[in-house]
Amino acid sequence: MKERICGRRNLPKQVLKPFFEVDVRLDGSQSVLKPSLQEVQDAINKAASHVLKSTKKVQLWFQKDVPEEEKEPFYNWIAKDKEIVKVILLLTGSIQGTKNSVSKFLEGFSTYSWLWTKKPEDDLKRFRQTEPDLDDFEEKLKDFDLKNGQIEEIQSTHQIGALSLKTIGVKEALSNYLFQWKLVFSKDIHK
Amino acid sequence: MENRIENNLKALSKTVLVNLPTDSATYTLDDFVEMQSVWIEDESKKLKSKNYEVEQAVEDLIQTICSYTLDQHVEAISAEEIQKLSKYYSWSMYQALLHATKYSLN
Repeated sequence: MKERICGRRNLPKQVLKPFFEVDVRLDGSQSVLKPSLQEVQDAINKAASHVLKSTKKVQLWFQKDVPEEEKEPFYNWIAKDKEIVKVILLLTGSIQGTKNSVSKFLEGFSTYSWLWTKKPEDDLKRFRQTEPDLDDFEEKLKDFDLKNGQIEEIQSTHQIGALSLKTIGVKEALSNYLFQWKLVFSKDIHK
Repeated sequence: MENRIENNLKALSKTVLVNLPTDSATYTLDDFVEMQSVWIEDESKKLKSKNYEVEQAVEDLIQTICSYTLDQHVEAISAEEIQKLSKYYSWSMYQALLHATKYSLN
């Protein structure tokens, strides 16, 4: 499980196959992962705990005369084994290592934050004050299309460690915002 | 006898307690946890019954050894030796289960 999630230490350059799929979405004012990194880590922890507890019902020997409910399982010893404890620790910290790369990737979307922090109507007012002619308007609309093209070009999946980040959600949200902006400006053109 | 003890121990130590897909499929978190839970519950039952089987087999082995009529010139087997034997197998069982767990987590 560790090799699959963290990769092998002696093969650092090996490309991991993505294991978990997470969506990148816009949540109000920022791009977020759904499920979150913490939720991914929780799932790994749960799975590791299941593996560890598989010997919980396997009883130690020489307990034939001990009442069933008082019998000691192998689990009690296995869970204390040094190497087992080490792997569990590595697994429970496995997602931590991807945190920085993920934050960096998510921050990349802040280039578009004007889409939701500013109001297109306010921007239009300012634009109007420059007494634009039709060419200026056309330029402005072209710029929106250009930006939309850039958004569409964002790779639909981005891999970080064992995570495959799906950007469809965030891309759609950005496009929708951009569409609203374009609409506000193009409606105004013929006034 | 060997089959009941040694082969079972070998099989036990090779038990894979995780169900990780080898293809490039990806999983949602709940599916992943559920997959492990179902798989491990099943494997855990096998571990339990195999453990019982081996412990029983070792008891039978000791029974066989003790009931064997030895030539009068040969010294009888001491209780200590018998205990060593069963402890050895009990320890082997622990190692097998430890190996399975370690291998699966790694």
